[in-house]
Amino acid sequence: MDKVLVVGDGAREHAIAWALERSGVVVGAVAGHLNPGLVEVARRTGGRVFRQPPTDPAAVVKSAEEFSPDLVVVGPEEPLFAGVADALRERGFRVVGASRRLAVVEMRKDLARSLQWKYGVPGRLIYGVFKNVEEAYGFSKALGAVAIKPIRQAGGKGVRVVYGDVQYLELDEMYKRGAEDVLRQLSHYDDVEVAVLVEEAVRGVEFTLQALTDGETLFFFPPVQDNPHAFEYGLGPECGGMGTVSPLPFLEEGEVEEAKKAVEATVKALQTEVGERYVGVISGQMMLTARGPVVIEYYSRLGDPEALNALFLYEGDVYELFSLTADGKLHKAKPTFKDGHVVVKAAAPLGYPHRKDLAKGRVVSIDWDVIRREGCLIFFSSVEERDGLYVTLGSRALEVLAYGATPEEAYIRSERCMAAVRGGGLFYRRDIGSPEYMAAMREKAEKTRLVYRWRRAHGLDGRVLLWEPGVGLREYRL
Amino acid sequence: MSAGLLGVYSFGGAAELWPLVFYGLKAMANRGDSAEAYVYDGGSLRRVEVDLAREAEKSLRGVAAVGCVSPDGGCCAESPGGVRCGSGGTYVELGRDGVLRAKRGAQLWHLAVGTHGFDFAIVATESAAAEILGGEVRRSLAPGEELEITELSVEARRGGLRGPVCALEFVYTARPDSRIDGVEVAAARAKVAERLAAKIGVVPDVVVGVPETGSYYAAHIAAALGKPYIPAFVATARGRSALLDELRERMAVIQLKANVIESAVRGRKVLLVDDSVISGVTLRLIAKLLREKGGALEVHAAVVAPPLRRQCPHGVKMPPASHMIFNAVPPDDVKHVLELDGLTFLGWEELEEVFKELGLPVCTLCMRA
Repeated sequence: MDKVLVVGDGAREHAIAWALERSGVVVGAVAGHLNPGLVEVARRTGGRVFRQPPTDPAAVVKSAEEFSPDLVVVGPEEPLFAGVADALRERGFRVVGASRRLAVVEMRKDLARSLQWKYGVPGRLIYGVFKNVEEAYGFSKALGAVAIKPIRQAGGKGVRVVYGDVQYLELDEMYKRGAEDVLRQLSHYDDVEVAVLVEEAVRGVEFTLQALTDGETLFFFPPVQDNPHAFEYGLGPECGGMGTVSPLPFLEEGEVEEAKKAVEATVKALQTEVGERYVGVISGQMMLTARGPVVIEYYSRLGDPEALNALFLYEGDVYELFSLTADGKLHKAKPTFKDGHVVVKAAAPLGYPHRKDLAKGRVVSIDWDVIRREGCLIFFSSVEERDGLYVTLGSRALEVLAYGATPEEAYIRSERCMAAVRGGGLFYRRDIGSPEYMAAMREKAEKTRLVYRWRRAHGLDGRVLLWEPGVGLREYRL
Repeated sequence: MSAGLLGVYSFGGAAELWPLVFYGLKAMANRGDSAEAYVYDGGSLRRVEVDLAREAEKSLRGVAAVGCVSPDGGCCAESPGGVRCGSGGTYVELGRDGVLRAKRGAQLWHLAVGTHGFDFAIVATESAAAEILGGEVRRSLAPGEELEITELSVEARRGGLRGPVCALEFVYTARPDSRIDGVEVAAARAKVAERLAAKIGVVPDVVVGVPETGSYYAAHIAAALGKPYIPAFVATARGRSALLDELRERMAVIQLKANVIESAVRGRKVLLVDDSVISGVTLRLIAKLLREKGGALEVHAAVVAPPLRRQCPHGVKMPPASHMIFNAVPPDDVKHVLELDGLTFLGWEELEEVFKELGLPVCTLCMRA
């Protein structure tokens, strides 16, 4: 029987392992903590869990050599940034996962934007990179509504959006604080210089477009909508994502096609720039805006929780799909997906995302009868099992996936299953996937659509002039 | 009318809240001239004076703030636990521990929740306030829903039966650009105007409206009748007169509120649209101005809100029942008393029907005899 090693220990990796188990392979994992889901899949399939840091290339290679897998799938971004995929390939393993140099498309937001501009990848935004607060402030002020980000992917943290086009609100402090926070955030990393990316803040409907690629073909999963705000009704700080819905009935096919073209063009540009073949996952975190679909950022991996939606909806054999990716034969893969709708919700311990000290050590129990009755699946994340209970380690504890023939049915099931996840100090978002939520997204998409179509019909999409007092006039051709 | 309630919470720790508090309250100046606010700075809670008439440069660093706009002030009350602004079961509350609670009562009043980026949560009576603060409106709280906002969480507790929303909120108190339970107030008003227009038996030469809210209805009624709507009044001072109970005070306000533009009405058959009638004194004076100063040929009135018949049992400030003209004068005589050529208004049943079609149960108790 073939063996597959999964690198990573979150709900996404549990979902990858779950999908591989259905392909009938032996599943092993390299995990920093004993994710109960991975432990269970490994036990059932006769594999094993190597408790090693997934970001340490030497440790991952050592585990792989011991396990001797036919394929290795790298789940999260940090191992990719650290060169885990490269180290595995050097030792002759078949790997699904971008090389370190290619994963830069996610790791370095500044380089991703410059790549887009250099190669004319559609869905660009105006941006600037600054090393000090004053310069970032000047550019922010000129742009008005801005997103201030660390140039390095930092787990979604440190991003600040300031709608400074509302001049009377005197949001100067927020621009400056945003830039300061970013610079501070980045000082924790030693693999990048400290700089701030400032780009246009856009509004609209977000969606994630995930694809596998062998460097030639892109295999797209249906678009998924993630919800980055931590709290109910989309309030509060940005986090890893509190829940997803898919497919997305409020997007039009043409919009998804445009987004696909942007992701395809990115892979091409990236391969030309880096001179390597991209074998792994590339995802566009997109937004339907007044300019049409734009790229907010890239993932060099499946999203979490978006991975759950993609792998659940895929009807084919996931091991075969990953193998075709690794072997450069992805053109043979058939995109067959289940009808119906998926809602995923994450449960997180109070304290997540910014106070991990408080988020640790909370106890979670699950009423499995309810989960089975509703046909839900549970994917574990930052928890370990102790005597049938689950203890949180500080990040999202687990994710619940619910399936239904309609969005509403999936939503109702997700709520029932979430009620079966019990514990002091856990929270999740009720609003995600509700009929009100879906209606609000549809309305937002319809309005946005009218604007970008009008702008395009009037030739307003080509050229943007940005006047920064004291610096001068910049022209951008989009 | 209900006070304008505001709550702001900064998830990123202490921040400059003054612009948000000032413009958030200013966005609800349709609910009164007096504003007050409280801020929690991370350690303690303190009161802040707000003068809506002056855009003073001020600094207000804090994690959270609550505030309130009302006609006479005093809509926030301190307690050992903190401060609560609002009444009738709908309130925003800031604890001495920095926890922000917002509750929409089961009936009558509205609260919306919105956000500004990842940094701020905004709660306000007027959903438009979140937009004025550069943010996005997320939704109306459900009747009976309580929101508890802390640094670590936002907890929404839904509760119980949902009662009707105060009809006067929709008819004239709320900002037209706000949304209540998913329905834009202006859109609801357009429906009401349509219904009223269908009852008007006269074909005017011109449609005029007073005050600001009345003008909005006038424009819709004019469109329905296929006649021009022309702005015919100039306001010197803004403010609501309808609900003040001092007659003299009201008369003084009317003079400041509506000076007539002669060329709009001279020699014409005028349809005057007003948003409400209580004592009828306003309407009578305006009709008089239209004739004596403006030279109008005929003055027909269309009144949007059904005439008030009794004081609000829920405590909305209103003149005593004895000051309500329909309690004292037989319906057919009202137009003679007010010196009008004709008078059309909606009955409370008709108003309820319009809102029922919009899926919005409304309270009309003050309009029932």
